[in-house]
Amino acid sequence: MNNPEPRLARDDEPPVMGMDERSAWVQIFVFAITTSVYLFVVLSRVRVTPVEDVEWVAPLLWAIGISIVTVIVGSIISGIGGAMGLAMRGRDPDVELKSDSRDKDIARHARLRTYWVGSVLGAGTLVLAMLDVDTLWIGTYVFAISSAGAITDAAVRIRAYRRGFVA
Amino acid sequence: MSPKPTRVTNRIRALRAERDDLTQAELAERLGVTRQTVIAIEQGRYSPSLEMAFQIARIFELPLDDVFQYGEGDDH
Repeated sequence: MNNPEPRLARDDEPPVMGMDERSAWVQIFVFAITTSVYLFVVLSRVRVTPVEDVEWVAPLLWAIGISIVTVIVGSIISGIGGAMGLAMRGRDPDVELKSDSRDKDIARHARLRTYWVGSVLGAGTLVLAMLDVDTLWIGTYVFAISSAGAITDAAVRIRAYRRGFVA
Repeated sequence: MSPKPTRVTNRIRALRAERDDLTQAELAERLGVTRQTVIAIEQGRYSPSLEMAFQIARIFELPLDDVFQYGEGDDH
């Protein structure tokens, strides 16, 4: 049985969210949750255990691993869901979900505006090392600013998609 | 409603209506972008590259400044 040719969207149909915007939403939720959980777990231990005895490496690695895998898997699942919805309406997911020049411009716009998160806040790592604080605080700080960078990047992209931007 | 991020305005929606109701999706297909991008350009939420602006003007067979206008105001 031949599938009918996918049709183009009519103007009165609501536009769908493209893959890049879907990924931004997944990224902001995943990093907010994994970072919060990591901080809750480690800081809870700090309250009842001497800092030098707190096990923080495994939770940190788990948080990083879960963040990366969940963003990838979540984006794929979100994309599949969007594609199935379009296909059921007879529309072409390849055409409507693809990345284009606006997505690239928005990604560049977000990179420029979140550069400071890594560069300025990253300098705080040096300060912590100079103060000779426990490695727990340095590792946690580096993870926190990495997450802040990912969350800021996603937030800037979502804002650009929703409200527009000037490249 | 928040102000538009750009002072570039355009007549794409009106021109589409004049050209046998060219749809957003059809224009997007001819430009090689998504319909969401055409919608963002029409609503002033995204300024296309100069190259894409020329492509749009060529599709409507008009000079660039018959399609896009730069709003009055303080020059920076």
